[in-house]
Amino acid sequence: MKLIEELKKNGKVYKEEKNEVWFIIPYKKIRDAIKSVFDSGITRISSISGYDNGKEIEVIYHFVKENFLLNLKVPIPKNLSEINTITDMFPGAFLLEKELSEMLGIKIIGHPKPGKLFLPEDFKGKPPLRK
Amino acid sequence: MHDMMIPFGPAHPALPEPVYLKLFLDGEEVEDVDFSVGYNHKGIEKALEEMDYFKNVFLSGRICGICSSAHSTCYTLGVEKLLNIEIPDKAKFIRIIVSELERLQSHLLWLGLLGHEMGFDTLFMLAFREREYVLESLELMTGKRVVHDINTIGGVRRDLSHETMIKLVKNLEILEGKIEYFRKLVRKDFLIKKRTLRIGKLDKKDVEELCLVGPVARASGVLYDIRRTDKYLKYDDLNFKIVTQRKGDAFARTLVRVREMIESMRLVRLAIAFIEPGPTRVKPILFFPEKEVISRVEAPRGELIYYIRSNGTDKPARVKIRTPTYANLLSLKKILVGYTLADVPVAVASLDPCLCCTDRVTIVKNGKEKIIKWEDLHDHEHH
Repeated sequence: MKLIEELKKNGKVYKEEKNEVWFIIPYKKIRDAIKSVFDSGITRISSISGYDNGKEIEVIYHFVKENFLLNLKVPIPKNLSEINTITDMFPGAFLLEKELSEMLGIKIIGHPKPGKLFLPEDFKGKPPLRK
Repeated sequence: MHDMMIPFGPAHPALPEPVYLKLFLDGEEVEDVDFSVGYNHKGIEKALEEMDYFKNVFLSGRICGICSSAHSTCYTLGVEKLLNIEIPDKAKFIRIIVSELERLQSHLLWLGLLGHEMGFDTLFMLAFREREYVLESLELMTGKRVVHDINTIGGVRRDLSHETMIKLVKNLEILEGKIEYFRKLVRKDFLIKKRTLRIGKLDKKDVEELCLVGPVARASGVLYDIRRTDKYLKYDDLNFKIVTQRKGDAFARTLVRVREMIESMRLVRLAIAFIEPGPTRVKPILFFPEKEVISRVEAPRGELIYYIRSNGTDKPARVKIRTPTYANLLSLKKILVGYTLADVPVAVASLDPCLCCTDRVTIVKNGKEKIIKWEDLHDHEHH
């Protein structure tokens, strides 16, 4: 597939299964990678998962096209803790990014409506899913 | 400038579940809408990390009361993928039967609520009466009416006896007549048409753009059904139709759900016919390597997706759940803006929102900077 080749320029495949490809993309190249997904005609983002592995926050974007699942993993250094929004290209990521932001304490740069989703607006404290 | 802001919820007579809509009105017309969720947080994603894989089967089944087996099926499928085990065919068919019966009861519940929303309470009574047949079948099969707990890692917990199958088929025979009546009623009834036709329109582009799922997507002509795309369990062996409509209004969504009930009944009958004697579960070797998996199922409300990550211990490192209503919430603006205030309850109900599923992530004690651990949650129960 053309998209896979395109993505291989920005990152590398670390797992491949039936109908599933898992990429690891360096933090700096994520914008290009997302752009190539958008250009390939995929419109559906099913989920965004986040995981705190101790050193860094891993954000995983799960894109779907029918039965094909494309997973892009981006490790974000903890001292940075910010990432560009993808809502401008994938409007379906609106809530997913808000949730990611509040639960793992990642600032989403350029999100159209930053703020809390599930937590109270005045909530202050450690993001709940940080280890 | 808006004329007025009307709050809708979090506790509203038209919606039994808590969601807070801020409706900005210009006269009678809705000009803008803002929503907030989170009134129903149960901290389940965190709790899933605190318990072992087997206990989590039961916890995931308790995320939602209406789509309980969808959640536990999705979770167990994910863990089975993690362990690399294949469950027996019989278990797959039993899972299909429970899932489809669950879809049937969920859509009947929804039909009743839609009737209630539009002031057609007779429909509510009728739908809930017929729903009893489904609940009775589920109780016969699983021992429970609402939360079924039939799944376990490696198969199902209960076998399906011959007598139960006969009773199931008998109940289906009764139900088929009733659902056929609902189908005719929805098509012909003046009130239902008046309240749902051309209300809350979503076109194909909105669905693709906002990543909407389930009957909401299918009512706008998007053929997106995980049962067909992923062919999990044994769905590829069974012959069934994916119901779609093109109009994308509340009426189309009603038609899709009513016709889906007929397909679900057919699936249950087929699955019963396909069952062959054999084991219902395999004993898994409990070794969890460091791995991450994605598991998807078609819940009554659409695509349900779990991300499960293991770290070598007997507890998952992370479980991320994206529920169907969570995905469909984004369409609220599209289905409400431009319609009148009186259409709001029907339009919202036509999404079939299930906020138990949506509000599940993590709860933190207000301001005290303390994450509630599983033990604390347990203590809370007794206070």
